[in-house]
Amino acid sequence: MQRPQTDALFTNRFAGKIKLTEADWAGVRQRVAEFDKYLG
Amino acid sequence: MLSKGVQSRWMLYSAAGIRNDGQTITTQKKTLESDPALCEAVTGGLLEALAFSLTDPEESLGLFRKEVPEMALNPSAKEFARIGLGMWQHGIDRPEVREHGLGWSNAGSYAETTDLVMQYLNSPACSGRRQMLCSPTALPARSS
Repeated sequence: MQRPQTDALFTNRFAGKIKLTEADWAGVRQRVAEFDKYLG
Repeated sequence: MLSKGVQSRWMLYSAAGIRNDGQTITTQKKTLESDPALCEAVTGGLLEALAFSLTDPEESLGLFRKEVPEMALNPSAKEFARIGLGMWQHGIDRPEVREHGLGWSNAGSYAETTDLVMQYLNSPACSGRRQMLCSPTALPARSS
């Protein structure tokens, strides 16, 4: 069996139109930091 | 488990060298061809919701609890949802998403994942490897 052509099944055509600001990402990082210790 | 006070840990696929872009939005090819505006609207709505949950997780969890009031039956459900959202967002915060925007995926990782699945899970000759992949002993030992 051959792997299907990726571009026939997946697209970023409708993605990537929303970007968070650096400040938004800084807030995300700050909030999720509590979970760093659970990642082995 | 963590929401019930049981110490737990997670391992990212990337820790094992596997690139994985997580969730996808799926449709039928004929829908994409006949009504791309619908596909764009659904994707846009989901990504707007994702942006909202990333920037206001408390409000997002509050809205979720209103929509799923039966969660109140389980005393740990509120914490379970909070941890789940946090861990999910932990996985979203990656350089690729910051650079290309929410929802963007690396096409190369799909090819790699498909190859991995075909190598280990799609071959009759790989039943032993399949068993190994599903075994808890395949995971690294806890460090603490």
